[in-house]
Amino acid sequence: MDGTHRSRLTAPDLRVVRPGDPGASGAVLVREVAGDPEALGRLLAAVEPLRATGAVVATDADAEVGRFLAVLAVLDDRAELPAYDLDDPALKWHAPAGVRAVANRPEGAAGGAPADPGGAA
Amino acid sequence: MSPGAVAGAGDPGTVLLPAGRHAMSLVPGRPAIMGIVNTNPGSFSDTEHLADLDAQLARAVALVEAGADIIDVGTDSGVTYGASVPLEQQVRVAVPLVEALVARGIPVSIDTPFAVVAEATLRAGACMINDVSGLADVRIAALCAEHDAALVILHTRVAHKQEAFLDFEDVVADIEDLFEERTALAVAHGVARERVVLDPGLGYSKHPRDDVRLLRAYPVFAARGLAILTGASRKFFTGVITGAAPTDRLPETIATVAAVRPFPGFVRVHDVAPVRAYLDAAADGDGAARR
Repeated sequence: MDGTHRSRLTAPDLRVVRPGDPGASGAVLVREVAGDPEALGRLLAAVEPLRATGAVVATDADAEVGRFLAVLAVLDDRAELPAYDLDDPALKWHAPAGVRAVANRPEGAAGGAPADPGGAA
Repeated sequence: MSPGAVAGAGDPGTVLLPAGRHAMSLVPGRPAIMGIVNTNPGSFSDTEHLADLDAQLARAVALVEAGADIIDVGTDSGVTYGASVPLEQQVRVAVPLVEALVARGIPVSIDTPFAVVAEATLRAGACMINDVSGLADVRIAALCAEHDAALVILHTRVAHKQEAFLDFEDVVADIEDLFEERTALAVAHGVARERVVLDPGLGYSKHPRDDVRLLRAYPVFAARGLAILTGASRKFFTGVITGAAPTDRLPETIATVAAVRPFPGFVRVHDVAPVRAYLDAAADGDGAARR
């Protein structure tokens, strides 16, 4: 949770800032997560009902909250699914070194990726 | 089942799922958590390999202590690179783990499209078969019927370990068609309808755009009155949205869980503790909103 993700969407409506940032004084929710995944889970539960309210939330997990809201915005149909590359190496799971892909793409399939598309997690 | 996942029979929207010697009450707003333990060496989206029975058992018990309601044991990998683990090896590794979990009273599901694996693990006490082939082999339905086990029917249109991004004209209609056909097939092979669990198959043979469409269509799937299983963990479509790498998708996983939370069923995840924390806090929020 170091905030180095590559978010491509900014969630609409709800504003997420870090504690101490300009605008944090008006926050309806201030929460320190300090890298604790369970605390993040609880924070996201608190944020979820606020996602279309225009409220301000102040947290050190601003990057994670932004990603949570970005996914919900697409699922809510409040934001477009970004254009994507099925072969984007940054987003895909990869075969371990030395393991070859199974060349068994069925007819009618699109794309050309050698590794798993993200199905069977 | 966790206390929050249990409700009285007859609650509106609650699905009662008999599974082996377990009876699971699946409540809208409080999906049961299915924790993932893979016994194979190359499983998709695992960040580490659990090398032996002790490590696998320790992981499973830790997931239950973290809030998992059922453990899904994966014996083969769904990745499209590399060969399947030999079936006899899958059985040899999975059976003692299932026996150890069952002895502890932990409900066990088996993630497999293989009848021989299903048969051995059902005999060892597994209460559910998570058939990731969409019932390509009807012997699995007959085995579930024989053992009074629940059967997960997952939507996919490609064979096990085949890679594909199919072009669906209407992915929701295709999922509905498969659910209708395969549920009838399972019932014809002796599975009680109430033991069927439906999985729309996020990422299985689908484009990210289809994953978004199917998640918006859960009210359609839920109208069948059956439990819904969602493989919510670290999905590719969420990476498309946020750019997060596969091993760093916890907020994305929880967003997927949030999307399906209103519907009775299971969420299948690697990161059990934070998802449990999310679900408990969200349910508390539901209660506060009603008061």
